[in-house]
Parts: sequence; C-alpha cells; structure tokens
Amino acid sequence: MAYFYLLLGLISLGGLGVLHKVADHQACRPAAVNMFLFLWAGLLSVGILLSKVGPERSVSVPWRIIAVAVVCGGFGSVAILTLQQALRHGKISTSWLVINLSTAIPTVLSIVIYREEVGLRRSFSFLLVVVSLLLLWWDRKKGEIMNPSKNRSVPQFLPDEHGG
Amino acid sequence: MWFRLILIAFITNGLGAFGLRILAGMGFADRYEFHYLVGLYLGGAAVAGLAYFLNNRRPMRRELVVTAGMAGCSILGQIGMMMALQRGLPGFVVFPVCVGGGMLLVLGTAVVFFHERLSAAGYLGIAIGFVSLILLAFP
Repeated sequence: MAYFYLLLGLISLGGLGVLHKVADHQACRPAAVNMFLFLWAGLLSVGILLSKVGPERSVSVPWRIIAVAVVCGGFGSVAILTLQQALRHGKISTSWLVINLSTAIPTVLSIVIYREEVGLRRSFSFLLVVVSLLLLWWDRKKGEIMNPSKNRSVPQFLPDEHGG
Repeated sequence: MWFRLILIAFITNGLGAFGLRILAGMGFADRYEFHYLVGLYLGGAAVAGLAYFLNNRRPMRRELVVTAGMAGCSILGQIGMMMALQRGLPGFVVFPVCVGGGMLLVLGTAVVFFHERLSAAGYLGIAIGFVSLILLAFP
C-alpha cells in the first residue's frame, strides 16, 4: 500500500506540472488559473480539515500559524501567477524544473536563520542549482535570438483576447 | 522576459515553501499541518483574487475545469507523500521519487505531446538541475 501512495504522489506532482502546460495550451488566463487553483485547493483542504479534526478543533488554532500560512500562501500565489505568465514565453520543461529547484531557497533560509548544518551534499547541490539556472538562461537567450517574436508580448494579469 | 518571470516565480515559490520550516521551528508542524494548508491555500486565493478581480470578471469553463484538476493534483501529491511516509517508506525514497519522478513525467509529456525542443545548453541545464533536485530532495 505504501508504494501505491508513492505512485499517487509521483503522478499527482507530475500531473500538476502537465496541467499548468495544458492551461497555457487552452489559453486560460494566468490570473484565472492562479485564482481558481488556490480557491479549489482551499475548499478541498477545508473539507479534509473538517473530516480529520472535526468542526470544533478546526477553528481552535494559534493565530501565528494562520499568519505564517497566509503570508506564505501570498508568496505562492505570486509564484503561480508568474509561472503561468512565463509559460506564455517559455517551455514547461525548463519552467517546471526552475519551480522545483526553488526548494533550494527554504534550505538556504534554514541554514541562515536556523543555523542548520550546510554539509558537502547541500553545498554541492546549491552550486548545481546555480549552474543549471545559468544554462537554462543561456538556452532561453539563444531561443530569443533565433525567434524574437516569442518575446514580444508583455506580462499581463489583465483581460486579453479571450475576454474576461 | 521568460527568465525574469521565472526568476520571480523561483524566489516567491521558495519563500512560500519556507513556511513549513517556520511551523516546525515553532513546534507546531505535527499538530496543525491541515490548519496550515487551509490558511496557505485561502491566503493564496485572497492574493490571487486581487490580481484576478482587478481586470477580470467571469471565469471560462475550461479555466474552472483545468484548475480543479490542478488543485486535486496538488492535494493528492501532498497526501500521497504523507501516506507513503506514514506507511514506513523512508524519506530518502519518498522525496526523490516523487519530486524527481514528477519532474521526469513533465519532461516526457513536454517532449512527446507538446514537441518541446531545447538547445544542448538547455538539455545540460535540465540534467544538472535534475541531479541537484534529487540531492536537495534527500532529507
């Protein structure tokens, strides 16, 4: 059963990346994708919370937890909005990799703020993250030189040709 | 333009993920994880609502359908990893397999169905990024 859940995690996390591309392919507006992704997930998680801990314990929570969650949710929301916008200019293969590489940031912050041990493996992986980002930037730069029309539009969180 | 946008996404996504570490630092990680998820998603929806309602009104049906699938994947991904860990699989198996495997799934789909092609630098960047992802995913 443990491997079933492992497979579920793998397919779901991959499926999320694929659906970001599908949304772009289907000309979904980035602001709408961002808004309804968080809204649906919020409603689903409320259902899970109620079924796990019951209505009474659902509302008894330290305010600091909610404050941290709301701020981090805000950052996540900006991330999804800019990712969806970036997909209009770039590829899902590279964009999704960069989003996944962002796990380096909480690791760095943990080292700086909580004085966690760095270690050789972590130091090496940070170096690889930087090299990877530089190579992806270089790939994109070459793509823009060869196909400048891809870079014409500006970011828009606004109504477009698909209405709103 | 892509690089600027994806760099913002890289930083903000990383900052958003740091919340779980703050929660652990407060000593609440194992007691309020579902409360945290609700706050995270609804907080994100509130910020997303500002950007959306600024210039948009009615959603399109395909936006509602695709995002419902994304939300389902997001939550099932978390539950899948959590349950696999609770059923005895070690973290050094669960995190690299789910994160790395999910990444490969996206790459495969991008190449096969969306016909994405990269330069040699791009493929090398993905290979190096994939290795660093696996290294970072180890607990």
